[in-house]
Amino acid sequence: MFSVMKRWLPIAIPALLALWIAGSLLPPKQKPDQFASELFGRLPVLANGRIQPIDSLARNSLLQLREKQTANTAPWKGNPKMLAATDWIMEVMMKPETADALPVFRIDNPDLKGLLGLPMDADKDKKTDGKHYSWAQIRGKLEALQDESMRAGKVDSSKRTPYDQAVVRLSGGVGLYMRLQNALQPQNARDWPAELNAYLNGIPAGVDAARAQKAGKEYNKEAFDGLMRDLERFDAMSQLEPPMLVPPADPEASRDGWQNTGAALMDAARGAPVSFAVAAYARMSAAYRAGNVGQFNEAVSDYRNAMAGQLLAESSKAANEQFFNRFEPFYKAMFPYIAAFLFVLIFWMAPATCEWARRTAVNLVLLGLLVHTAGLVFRMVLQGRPPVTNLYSSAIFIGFGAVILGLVLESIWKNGIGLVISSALGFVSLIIAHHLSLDGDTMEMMRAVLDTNFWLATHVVVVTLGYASTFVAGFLAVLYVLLGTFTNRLHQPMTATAAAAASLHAPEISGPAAGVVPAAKSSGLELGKSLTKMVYGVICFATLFSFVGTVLGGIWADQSWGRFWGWDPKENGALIIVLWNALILHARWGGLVRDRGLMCMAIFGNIVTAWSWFGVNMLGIGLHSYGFTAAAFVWLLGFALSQVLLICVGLFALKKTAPQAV
Amino acid sequence: MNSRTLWKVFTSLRLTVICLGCGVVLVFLGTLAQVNEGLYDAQSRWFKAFFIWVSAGGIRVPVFFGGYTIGLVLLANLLASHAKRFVWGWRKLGIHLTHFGVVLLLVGQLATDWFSKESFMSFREGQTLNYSEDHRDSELVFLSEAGNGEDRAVSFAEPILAKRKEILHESLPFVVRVKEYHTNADVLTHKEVLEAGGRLTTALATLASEFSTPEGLAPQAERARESEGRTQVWRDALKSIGETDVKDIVAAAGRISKEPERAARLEAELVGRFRKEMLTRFSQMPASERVSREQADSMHYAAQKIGRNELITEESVPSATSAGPGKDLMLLPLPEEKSMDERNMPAAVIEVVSNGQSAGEWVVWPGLAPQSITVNGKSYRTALRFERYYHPFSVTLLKATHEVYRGTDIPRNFQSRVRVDNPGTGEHREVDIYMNNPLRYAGLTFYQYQMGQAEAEGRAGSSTLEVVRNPSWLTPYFGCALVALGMIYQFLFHLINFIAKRRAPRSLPEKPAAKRRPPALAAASSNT
Repeated sequence: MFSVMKRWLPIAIPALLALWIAGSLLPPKQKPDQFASELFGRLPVLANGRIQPIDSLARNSLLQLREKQTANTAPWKGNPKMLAATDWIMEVMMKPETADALPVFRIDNPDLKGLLGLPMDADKDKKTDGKHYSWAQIRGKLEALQDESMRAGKVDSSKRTPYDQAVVRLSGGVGLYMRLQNALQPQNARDWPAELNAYLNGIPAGVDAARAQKAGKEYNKEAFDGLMRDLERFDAMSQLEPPMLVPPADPEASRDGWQNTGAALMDAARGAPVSFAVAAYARMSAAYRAGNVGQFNEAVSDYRNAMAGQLLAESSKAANEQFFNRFEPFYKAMFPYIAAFLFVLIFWMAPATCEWARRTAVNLVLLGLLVHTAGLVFRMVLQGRPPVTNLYSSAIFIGFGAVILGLVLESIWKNGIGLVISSALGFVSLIIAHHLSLDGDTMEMMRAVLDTNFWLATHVVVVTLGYASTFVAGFLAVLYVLLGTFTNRLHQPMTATAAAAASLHAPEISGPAAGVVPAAKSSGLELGKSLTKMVYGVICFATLFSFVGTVLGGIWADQSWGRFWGWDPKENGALIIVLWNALILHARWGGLVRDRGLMCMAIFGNIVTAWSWFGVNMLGIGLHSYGFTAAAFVWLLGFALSQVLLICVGLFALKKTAPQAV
Repeated sequence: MNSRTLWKVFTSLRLTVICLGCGVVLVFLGTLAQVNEGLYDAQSRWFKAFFIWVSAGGIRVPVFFGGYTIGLVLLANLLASHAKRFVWGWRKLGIHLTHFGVVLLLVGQLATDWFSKESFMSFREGQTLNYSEDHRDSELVFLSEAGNGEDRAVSFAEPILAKRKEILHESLPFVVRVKEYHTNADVLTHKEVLEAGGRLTTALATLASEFSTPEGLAPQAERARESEGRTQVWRDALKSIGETDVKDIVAAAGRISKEPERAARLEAELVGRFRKEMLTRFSQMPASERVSREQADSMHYAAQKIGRNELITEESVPSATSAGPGKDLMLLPLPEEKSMDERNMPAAVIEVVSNGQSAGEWVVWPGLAPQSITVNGKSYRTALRFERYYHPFSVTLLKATHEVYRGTDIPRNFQSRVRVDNPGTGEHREVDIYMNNPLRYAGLTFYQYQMGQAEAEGRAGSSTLEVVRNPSWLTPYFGCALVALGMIYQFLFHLINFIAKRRAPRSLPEKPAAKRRPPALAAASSNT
């Protein structure tokens, strides 16, 4: 029975996870009595400089407002009532009076709550959980918020207090919310299609009146005032620079010529034809407000059909991105990784009998890698860019590289070490990426100097692989120190066959002579020795990649700024990695360090890499500074301290190496 | 230390490790130093130096090795080690390639530091330039007509001016006495300063008259209510005279206007507060599209002077020189620029002395047009201008393009279409220069200079090109290729050995005697 299980578990467990992931790829069933939010979320919009589906706009907006991709309509209740991003944005765009009561503004800073006169703690009667507040609750205090944000905005971003940061963040959120409210129709519209029609029909009379007024003749005051009132309203809408919902009139001439609704309507008064999109959205809005599911769904699909001609490219890009959003590959890949980690631990408990657990872990890591890679490729296709374009995607790619390296190590040694690296680094890097994604759109446009796929594909990819491999070496060394300090494992072979063989000679391996047991020797080295070889090999690899990546960066700089090396902080960070890796190799070759020293230096490599990856961005200077939050600094410091602690453990607490075997 | 020990030290791996370690420390500290010292200064102090100097009690003490020392010692170490241990063989080929590549990179970088020259061409559409200007250095020039329509120029580099002494040149029939010199300064005309002073004085007078009668308080409060900032000033002022209910400032003003004594106190408070705000605003006014740098500096000067209750009149504004064109100019020294994007505008006051007789004093500054000087009947023009490098060809800006992504301020494309005319070669060609696509011509490279959003808007129709002369620009390309090749070769060599070695013992249980490697070889590759 157990032996059958052992044979099937390595296949069955990953297969179950794979089924779950595949299941999430299917589009949710659209019930005929429900608003077609799935379809609405698929409509293209130009926001943040790029075409995206309304679904992305909704998710990124919620991320910015409340650090989640969904809204909770009643967080003060025990069981959350979740609202999908698109459902939420439909309310904001078309039915503001209900949207305004949804608690989507996350505010944690007590001083800021005080400024806005918000309840501090969870209070069912006041409809708050003490963290999330609605537009209706903060609307009254916008002036006070604006004053504070004007003040805090002038403070250098590195010198802002937590309160200042909260103020700046919230006022950004308020701006965003107002833009969304005014994207489809004026926020104070009550019967938008009627108001729109009245405006469009009144244009000729209004324009005549305006001409007459200008010429000093008698004019139709009612028509004039009406037109002016509408224009003022649309101008206010347009001034907010809301997402651009209105596609270009002639997409062949200018694919970029999207407009926001307000601007499109103002153009109508100057005689420009009004895009079919304005009327289509007005129709959706009317049906939505009236609760008429059938008409709404028909309006959405009519609009999609109207776009199918000249705007097919935008329309299908939006649809693809919506699919990608639902897929959430980088989130889903975390599950196989963490499961793999657990199975490696099982394998380590009893290497001789639990080879099945190792095989399960291998398959799980492969599954994770498959999903991870699928996401990476999907993202590349969507963006039309190489894999790494910003800090967020560098985290994803570092994870990708580390997982592959770990699998390579595992295929050589088969002792679970490579799997620990793959699963742990894969998981952790995706967690980091997840936190980086909370800043909003992760597919933002590339500034002019970065707008070159050749260098993004070479320099950035190679240098990121350099980071990944330096981390892998560092974490292998961490394993060495931990295993050597808290277990005897370093002096035992770790593969299943070796462990099984060793257990036959049990009396012989208990003593210090373990290394010379023929069986142990035959089936690869003891764990400690093989870890040393792994670390050494990976550092060679890391030196190659970080060096080539860094020099390619220099060559890029030479191409775009006219200097190969400018001592820019990010360049220096990469240089330190190269120097440090070269130093480890030379110290090893010169016999200046042995196993223990090699490990401690490799762990220090973790600090060096983390500094280069994140730390230099926090200096806020130079050409690569992307701006960063103070919270990340605390994490970085904590990470560095933990590594220093591990180095100390390695130097002082690590058990003496067993007598040399060979 | 005798030469044998020295040789031993220079060929040791230990030295390599020490150099690399020092490199790590230096690069780390030098990067941190950039936060306070600015990119440029930190570079020259840490990386482009032999030692890091620290002033302790007025004495400069070297505290650490600079980039040059570490780089040169590493270079010597590399060359010496290879001289000592060089053995030809396939086993070591990768190491040789790698190290040769590193030597190329180090030498190339030192050469770049010493020989490369950066300058800029900044022009409007349609403008033609046959020179580029230095980003940091300026020169004092004396131009005289050479006869054939060209000018003969005698120039003195800025460091000579900085000594503030007498300077002379064999082809100039006079001595130049540097009476005053500032690394960074603004030269303002008296007109600008008086205008700024006038504007500020008028504004302050208006302010005082607005708050002269108790009846005016309520209407003023009404007006203040339109702006949140002004409302806040009102509230603060009301609180300071003991008013508690300050929510509605108009109502409060109405109440107080009925009590003459408190009304007067409130008015004094308001005038004081608004005056302070106004002075702060003037003294911090940034230069922009509408306000030139000189106008902004005039405002700053005027605000500071009026803040000290001094008057700004024709007499109270200092003159740069007692006579001549400098009489109507004022020199305003400014702090030195730290940022890479801003440059210093040096200014000097020079006196031209011929045969012991002063021919007059002049203010020179890059923002001023060349001024004429007549000495012994011969006329010269003088200017302190950005150091120029003349080229045997000219560049004309035909079209400058600045694009941002729709609906954002993320720059999308900066592009300059230029025409290069070279009378020497008869070339007349048009070319596009944009980010990541420089023009390499005549040993120079022309790059599209990066611009921010503000510049993109403000300087439409103009463009700046960075012009670099770097004879060793190709070394990193070769160096990188060599190192990469070398490392790949070496690691593959070992990897193949390693895998072969692993394969061998693993098949041991089944085939006991199979493929056992000779122990000597196994030992040789086990430490790699």
